[in-house]
Amino acid sequence: MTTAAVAPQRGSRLLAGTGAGFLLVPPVLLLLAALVVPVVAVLAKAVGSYGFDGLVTEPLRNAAFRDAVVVTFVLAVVTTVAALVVGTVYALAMSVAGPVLAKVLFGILLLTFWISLLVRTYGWLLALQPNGALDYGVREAGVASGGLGLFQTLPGLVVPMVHILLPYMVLPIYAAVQGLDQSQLRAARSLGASSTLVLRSVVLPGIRAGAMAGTVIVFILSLGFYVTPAFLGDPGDRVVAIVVGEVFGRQRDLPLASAMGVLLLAVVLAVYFVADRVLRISEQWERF
Amino acid sequence: MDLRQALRDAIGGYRAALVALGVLLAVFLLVPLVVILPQAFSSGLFFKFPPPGFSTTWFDQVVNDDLWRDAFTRSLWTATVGATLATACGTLGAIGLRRLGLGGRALRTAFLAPLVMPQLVLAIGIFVARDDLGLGSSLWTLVLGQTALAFPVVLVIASAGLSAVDPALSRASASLGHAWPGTVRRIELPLIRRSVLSAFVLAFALCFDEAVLAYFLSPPGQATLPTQLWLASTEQASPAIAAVATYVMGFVLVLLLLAGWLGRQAASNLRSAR
Repeated sequence: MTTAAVAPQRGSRLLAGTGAGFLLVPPVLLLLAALVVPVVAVLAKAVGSYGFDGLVTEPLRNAAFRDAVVVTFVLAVVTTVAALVVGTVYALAMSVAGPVLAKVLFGILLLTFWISLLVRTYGWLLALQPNGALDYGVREAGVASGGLGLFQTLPGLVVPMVHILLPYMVLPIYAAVQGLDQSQLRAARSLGASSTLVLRSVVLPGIRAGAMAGTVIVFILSLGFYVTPAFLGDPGDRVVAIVVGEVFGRQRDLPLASAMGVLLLAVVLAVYFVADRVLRISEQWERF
Repeated sequence: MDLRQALRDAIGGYRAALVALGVLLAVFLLVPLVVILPQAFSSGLFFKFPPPGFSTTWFDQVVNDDLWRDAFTRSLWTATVGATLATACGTLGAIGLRRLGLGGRALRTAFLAPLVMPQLVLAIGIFVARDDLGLGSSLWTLVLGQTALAFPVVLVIASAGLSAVDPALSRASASLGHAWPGTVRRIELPLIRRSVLSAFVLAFALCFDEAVLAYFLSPPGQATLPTQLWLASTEQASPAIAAVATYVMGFVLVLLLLAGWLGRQAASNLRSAR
């Protein structure tokens, strides 16, 4: 799939109006019922209970929520930066490896992308838990006799998060690498540029748009992540989603859960729309 | 000379290191999958690494367990309904957006919003809306939410399929007297049939695997497979869970291969149509 998928085509104007209104009715109805109504419902619930100011003040009065905001921000930033570095390496490796190896690397990436999030998290649980697979591995290798102790710590959460979010980073970067200008690469080479110079002033600037798209989506997704922190997060350092999930699921405090949810959603949407405006992110995503 | 070769020559000094790192990362990507397998084939009663011995008992046991069987059937049902709705809406949305051209930019952004919607917030929203409207808990509300999550994936795949279809075909159809429903049904849909099918398969996999909405919205006693997996894994440390996870991985792998095959068919269909 290419960018052509979204670039409005020449001549499509001649089709304008021919049924567009009718064709768009079912998708608009779906999003109204499944997205707009629920968002309005939480908004109404929160405003009805706390007023408009309460949307911000009420969640922030909750100490657990305040702590979680800091943890979530740190986790999202660390995860995003790690995914950016690792994702760039993986995308470049796929692009320069031999054709067969490149296919294998791509296949493994897609496989992990489509294997259930829950199953992958569960796999990390088995790997990281005390006396789990990794502890066994390091003991056998004689690295650390007591095990790694990563289970339910911040690093032990970042690693699985990067694992789960990596495809969202790699796919747009890989698409950008495929869009690099061959003649520019060859010109740089024949004019005597070193590998480092080519990498720094041709390749990396060329894939920046893809990397930005990946960075934004990974950051957004890690802000609202629920499943992986539920299994692998530090119980003493909970993220926002876990705190909200507890208020909603265990305490059944719907007004407070709604207010917290609205705040989380507002932050996520703000990042999304600013990024879309500034970086035209939605067009980048559609490249894959 | 292709891009791969040009890139290889241009960053020659880094190539070996990049490829070596890529292979290491691929191994890292496989860690959670590889860890599950030995536990699924364990002969022990609990998780233990390494497992005490080899057996396929757990696979037989979960297949014959009504709890798991019902959850699997339920997930098949929710995913079929969800993927069907998402495919219908996503395909119509892609065809409709194409007719809007540049004017549809804001709508396109809105259509992609479910991709960034935190699933937990959506779960709370659906729960509160259901409460406000006085509806009881039912699998249908869960399916509706999962449909919304799968919708943008279908939209993107169908748009990509459409982009390879010459707009002149649609114009020709219109000028030869087809009203727009005829053009959609006779010209556009047949040409993107394979893309739509592969979008359906991916939407199915997405709905089948969806866990957060399912965890919070499944009616009591009507857990989908991911919900059951989640509940079981917080209650017990039985290799049965690893066996179920292995089944899920196998099932999704089959779906992925199917979608990939359909996608290739879509590409070659369009090539031969030119």
